[in-house]
Amino acid sequence: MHTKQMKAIQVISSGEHKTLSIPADLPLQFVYKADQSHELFHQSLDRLSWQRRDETTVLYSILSPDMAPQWISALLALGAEVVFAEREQSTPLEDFLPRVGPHSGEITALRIPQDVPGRVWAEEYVSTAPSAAPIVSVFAVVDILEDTVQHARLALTGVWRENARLADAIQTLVGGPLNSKSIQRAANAVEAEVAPQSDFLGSSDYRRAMSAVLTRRVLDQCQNYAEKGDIT
Amino acid sequence: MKNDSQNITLIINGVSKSLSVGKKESLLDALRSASYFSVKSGCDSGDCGVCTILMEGRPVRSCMIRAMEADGVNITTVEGLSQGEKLHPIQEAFIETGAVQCGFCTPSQVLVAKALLDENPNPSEEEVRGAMSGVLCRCTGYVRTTEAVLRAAAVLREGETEPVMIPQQILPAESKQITLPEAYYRKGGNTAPLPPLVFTPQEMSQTQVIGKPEVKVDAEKLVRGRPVFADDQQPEGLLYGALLTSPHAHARIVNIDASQARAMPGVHAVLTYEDIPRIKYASGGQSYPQPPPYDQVCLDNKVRHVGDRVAVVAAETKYLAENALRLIHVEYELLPLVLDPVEAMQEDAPVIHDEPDTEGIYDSQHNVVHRIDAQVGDVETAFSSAEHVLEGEYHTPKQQQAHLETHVCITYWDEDDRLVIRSSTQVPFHIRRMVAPLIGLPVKRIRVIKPRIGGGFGNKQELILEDLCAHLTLKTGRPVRMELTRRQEFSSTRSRHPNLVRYKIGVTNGKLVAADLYLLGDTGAYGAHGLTVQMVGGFKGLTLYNPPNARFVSDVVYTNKPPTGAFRGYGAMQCQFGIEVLMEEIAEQLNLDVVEFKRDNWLKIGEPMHMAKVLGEGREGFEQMLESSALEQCVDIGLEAMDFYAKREANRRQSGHLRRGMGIAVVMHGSGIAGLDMAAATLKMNDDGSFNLLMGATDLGTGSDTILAQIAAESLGIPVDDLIVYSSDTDFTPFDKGAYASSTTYISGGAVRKAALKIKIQIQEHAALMLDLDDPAKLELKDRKVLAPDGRSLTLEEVALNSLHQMNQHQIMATASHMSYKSPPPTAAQFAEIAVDIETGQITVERLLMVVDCGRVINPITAAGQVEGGMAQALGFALTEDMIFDVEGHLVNDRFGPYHIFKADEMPVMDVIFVQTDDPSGPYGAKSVAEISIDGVAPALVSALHDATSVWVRELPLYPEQVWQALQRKTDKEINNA
Repeated sequence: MHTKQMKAIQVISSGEHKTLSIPADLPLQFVYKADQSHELFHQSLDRLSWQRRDETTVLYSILSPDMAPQWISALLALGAEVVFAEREQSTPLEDFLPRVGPHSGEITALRIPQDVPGRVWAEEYVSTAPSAAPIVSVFAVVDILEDTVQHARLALTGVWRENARLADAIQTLVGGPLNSKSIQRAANAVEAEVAPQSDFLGSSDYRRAMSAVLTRRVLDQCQNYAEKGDIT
Repeated sequence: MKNDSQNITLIINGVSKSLSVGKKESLLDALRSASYFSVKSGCDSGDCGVCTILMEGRPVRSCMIRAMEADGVNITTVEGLSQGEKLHPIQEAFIETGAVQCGFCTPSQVLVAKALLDENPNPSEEEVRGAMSGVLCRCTGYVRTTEAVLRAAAVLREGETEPVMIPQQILPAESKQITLPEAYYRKGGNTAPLPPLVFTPQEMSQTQVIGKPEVKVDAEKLVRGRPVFADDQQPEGLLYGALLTSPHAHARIVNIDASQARAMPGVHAVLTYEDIPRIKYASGGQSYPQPPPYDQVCLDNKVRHVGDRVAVVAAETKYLAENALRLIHVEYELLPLVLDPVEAMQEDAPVIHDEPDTEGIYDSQHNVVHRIDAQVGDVETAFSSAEHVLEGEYHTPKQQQAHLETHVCITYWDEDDRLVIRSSTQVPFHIRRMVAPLIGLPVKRIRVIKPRIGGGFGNKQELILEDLCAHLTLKTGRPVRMELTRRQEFSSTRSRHPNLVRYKIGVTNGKLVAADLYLLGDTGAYGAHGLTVQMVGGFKGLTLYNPPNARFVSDVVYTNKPPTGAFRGYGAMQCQFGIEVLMEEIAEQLNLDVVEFKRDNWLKIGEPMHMAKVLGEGREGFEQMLESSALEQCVDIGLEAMDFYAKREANRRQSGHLRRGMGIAVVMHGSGIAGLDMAAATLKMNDDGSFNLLMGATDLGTGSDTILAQIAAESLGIPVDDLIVYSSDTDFTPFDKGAYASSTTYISGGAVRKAALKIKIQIQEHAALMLDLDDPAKLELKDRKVLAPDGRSLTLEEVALNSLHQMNQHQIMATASHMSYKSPPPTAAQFAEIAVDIETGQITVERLLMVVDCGRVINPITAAGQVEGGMAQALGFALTEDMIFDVEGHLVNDRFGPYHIFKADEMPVMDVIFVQTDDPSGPYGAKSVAEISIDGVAPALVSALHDATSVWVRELPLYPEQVWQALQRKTDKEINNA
């Protein structure tokens, strides 16, 4: 299975921008262990067993996103893009998953922006047990420069028909400060946007309520990190 | 070469093997076909991890990999770890720490540990747990497995380590002044596994073998992955059986056409209800006569739940058998279904058992299988005069046993035309008796062999596959193997009874004066264990606090869901959940200290158990009195270890969204069924002074083989190594009712002790002859010798050789049976420390401590393993496990994952402390430990939740939304009252 020589994770520099390039044929275990990997990768891949990480490649995980929804969420929040052999232009993961935009061809890698100035991130979830599949989980990545939110991405699981998806409502933060008012506004907007389905682990009302609670928490954490200077 | 197959080469443990594998064949199946039986099948969907092997040194799930993909790859199985006789340090550590219980998941755990330590020689506890989280274990709670890996890491780094020690303390007269070794207070966030702490009363007699952490007698073969489980034998000419089950919850079979399936090449038999005599039975493995109703037949023309049996097939391969199932065409007439027991009792509910040939149903028209009504004293008068009358209603879930080894059975004719049934069963003797009339063979032509069992927890106290497998062998004349899939385990076996538990309690001056318990039990489609589970629930639920006026009423009701049966705890768990939470609520309402309120009211030594006679198990019981108990001390020690009151005081001043809570529950169970359970044991002396110990007692991973050997060894003055233990085989071992009702230590142990004492007398008598002494009784057996008062001695070997070959030749051998009219309760205090997120409702359990009085602890390592495993299962009962059905009666969560059982990396700290007592009726003073361990966690968690948040939640599991809703209601109430 993994006996052939594999390419390693690389950091590619292009002018001021750096990108993490993860080969598509790399088992997730390699991503989990790699020094260059983002902290959110480790947190999200921790939900899979070692065996599953060894058996599953990056490619397989994005072709079957229900296998590891938290990992997909982390990728979405970090702005991952899918790279094809035949095309120079990559496809944002959030377009690839629903097969919107270019999505055919040989997938060679995932690219994730690296060392983005002012970037902070956080993850929260609620589950029946610490390692049980989350009922709702939220991954937030926010770029703050000079006290202004430049970019914000929020990926949630458990509140859509899909396994994982970005919330558009987080864009209410962009262009303004990250403070308790804007955070509450964003949480309310996310709560209004989500479309959860009920199941035995949580009703749609509960999931909707949790989307707001967890959004607020992840953004509170981002705010704390930004204020303390815990940023890339 | 098989059709559609190709040759591959696997390099297994360094040896090249050429195999012919089918295109779709999994690596798991290919390895097992090549006799690598250490690689186990647990779920076929990659959820359980017991099929884990190392591929190029990395752990992978062999059930998820096609054999063809592994061509040319290096594979390591546990067979390749040991160097001849010498075990790998990881294997040794697993044995020394008691990390091996049933052993089914052990090979995969050992391999994962190997991969971890190869990569990281000094892992933290967290890293160990993270690595091990991909292998589920249902027995151990992961405490000793974690300890084993850390221990092995130390050995591999440093060359040696300290022997496993069990800390012992004398129990002081005043347990409120006790102090513990520092580690057991768990201050400073230390989470490393601790050995069980054992308190012993000063006056308790000393023993040589009993009380020692002897290594399990079966541990080595389990860590080596030897072929010792039911499916690890493949007789010549084996056919594969498969079971067709119903897709409908309630339907009549109008027509069943198996002609296409029968015509399929490679198919040797297809059986439907048209092919098998209609003989009624009850499937619960219980003593004769089993409680009615006898509401099942092997294959019926009506199905009563999704997953009910429809037909069976025997074919040359597993794949052919499964394909043949698809060619059986069944025409159903759908019937209205009912899934709720309250609705099932209504006038217009569909009648689930309308067949005329089932007798013993209390009210079939209203789906009531049993109605139990038992009373002592004058409940109505007592309530009317009580100072306070308080009520509570509680709901418990339908929890599945989820043992990692699925049900598996192999049947074949032996050379004497006797049918051999090799089955993963807890009740081999009951199976033999129950199967005989169903297949038209007398008992004497049937032999049942119980090999090692990969967990059962009650689900294998049942006739699940043996009759069908036997029918296929009778039909084909060939050996047949049947194994249930994991999905079938959920849909077609048994589970815990979900219960509505309603208590009414009368209290005067802080004392319980009356109790009324109503128990509604949902038995699913068939009634096995329905009567007895509820009776045990009623008895234990009304005896823990033992009011003199008590009434128990229970309805056991059919629904169109998979049937319920026996599951560790057996009704007592559900009712003790209810009574313990209600006692907490009462204490709050009456402004009483909850611990003192419980202490004033729990059953005390010398008190008769008022409900014992009216609530036996399935029939009238026997008078019982509590003769031994250390519940006082258990509670006091636990209060000290948890810093209970100080933490509760601190918990009153919390803020933020994470709140801490401290909870307590007290519980009791039983030791066997009084007046019913019987066990026998045989000891036979060999030429070298060793003994064969033959027992019908069924070790399903509990370690009973080991503790029973310790009892024999203690009596005979020999080490455990001098006993060759064999259990359980209906041809070669004497009767034992099987592993249930917490009877093995107490009843089977009693039989072993009696047999040992009988054989001791024979040894003494022969030795006296050899030494020309008049009084054999003065000879002492010690250290493998017979010691005379005058200083002379003989080795047991000398006595054996002399008795077999030289003088008054005879076989020194004894068989003894044991039963008891008593069932002494073990008692325990369960403590729980949690953190609750009041914004999400999520509960995180941080620490569990159980302080247990199980009489004399025969083996502290195996006993602690039982407690740790019981607590782990109870966590699922309380927090995550419930079988969920859609409106059509289909299970929504019929696989691991959606049905979440706790993994290694999410366990709380779990500690065990024993407080020994010397029960007058138990073997060397022992009681039981297997079931009490599961009884206390759920009420302790609700107690802790209330301490953290002031809310009561009365329904399990404690899903986050449920807790959140309770918190919302409390907030709304506070807002409205403000």
